Amino acid sequence: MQEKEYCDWLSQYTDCDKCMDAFHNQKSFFRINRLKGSRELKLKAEQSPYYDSAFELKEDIQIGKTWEYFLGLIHPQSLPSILVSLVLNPGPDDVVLDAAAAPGSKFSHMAMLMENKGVLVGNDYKKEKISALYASINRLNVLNCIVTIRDAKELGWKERFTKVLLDAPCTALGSGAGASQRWNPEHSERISGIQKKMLFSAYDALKKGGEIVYSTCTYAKEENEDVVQNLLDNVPSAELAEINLDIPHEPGAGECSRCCRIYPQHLQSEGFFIAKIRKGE
Amino acid sequence: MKIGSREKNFRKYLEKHFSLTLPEDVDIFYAKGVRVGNKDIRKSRITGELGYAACDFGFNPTNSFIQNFGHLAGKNAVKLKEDEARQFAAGRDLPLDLGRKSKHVIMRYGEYTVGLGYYDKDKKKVLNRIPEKRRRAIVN
Repeated sequence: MQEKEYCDWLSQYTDCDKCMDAFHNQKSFFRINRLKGSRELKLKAEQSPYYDSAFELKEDIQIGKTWEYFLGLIHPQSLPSILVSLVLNPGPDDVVLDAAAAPGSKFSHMAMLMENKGVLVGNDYKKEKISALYASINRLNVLNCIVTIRDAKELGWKERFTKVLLDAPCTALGSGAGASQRWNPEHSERISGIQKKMLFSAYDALKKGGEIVYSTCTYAKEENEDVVQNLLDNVPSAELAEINLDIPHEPGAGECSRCCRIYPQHLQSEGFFIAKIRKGE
Repeated sequence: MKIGSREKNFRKYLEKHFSLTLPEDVDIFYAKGVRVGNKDIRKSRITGELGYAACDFGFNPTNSFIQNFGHLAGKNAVKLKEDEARQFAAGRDLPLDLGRKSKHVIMRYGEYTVGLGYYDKDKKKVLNRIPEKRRRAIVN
């Protein structure tokens, strides 16, 4: 019963059968960690056509028990999750905030894009999450990091960062097992209020002329377009920016057509929502 | 010991014990412990934990620091055979005779830096210094 209701709900966004089929048959991806130099991989893998540091694993192996993982040469990460950092695309001169950084997949990828230069602030709220973040920092050799513990709803920074990533806590319907069992529209409504506060706070931390990427791994409009639109409606300096990535996706709903909705059937991987917002002068 | 001298002493230790000089853009500094990071984060006025721990308060390097920079060491590095490397990655101590002096050693397998060990001259073995959470029974 729950599965049918979930499918009816999901159909307002995309083809439910294709989405569910791809969701249950996801490919395994990993990202090369160029912060540890370039080494030949023993793993059987195929380079992604969308990004040269992303690979699809082509053998049945526990990636967390490979030499490559142990030595920090690779990091298992879904393809859409890898693409989120590319949308923000920070460079060596940037001062970047990852407002909800743990466990550190996108965070460490941004460090790689920044070539371990500049400043990359990784923030999270809970101590357990911070230790997961540190595990990534240590294993992957992130050297441009400052770790902070603040509530992302009340970060307290004013115009300090040139780029900001807010990969917000969400209902995660595009990720993990048992999405149809976990689905609860009321939960999306509740969490939407938190996400809106987080986005305001993260936007405050952004310098004029800077860019912020807002992402989730869920489908609900309340957690995605509604959160972005709420910022756009209330802050005149905020404008939605084009996402220049040549990847299969569907546009965001309503006025948020510049946002990307990536469903499992697009990349045979997790579902993601990505929005890029520019702070005007 | 003055706080400012701790980072210098750790650098001296790295040079003397491992013949290890860090690249120019990598900095060692004191910030609630000896840390490793880039030069930009020291100049930043954002308050938080900078970089990651390079050593403990006894100047013993962390396993992470060694795994990330051990390839630069010119001495006190032990070449392991494949089976030994797998055992060490899984957290086992290795029975090896490395002489009459106890010391920290870098465990290598081919071009991989497997981790940090401590040679115990009395036990004639290298004690494993890879933290439990980092240990793995390697499958490839």
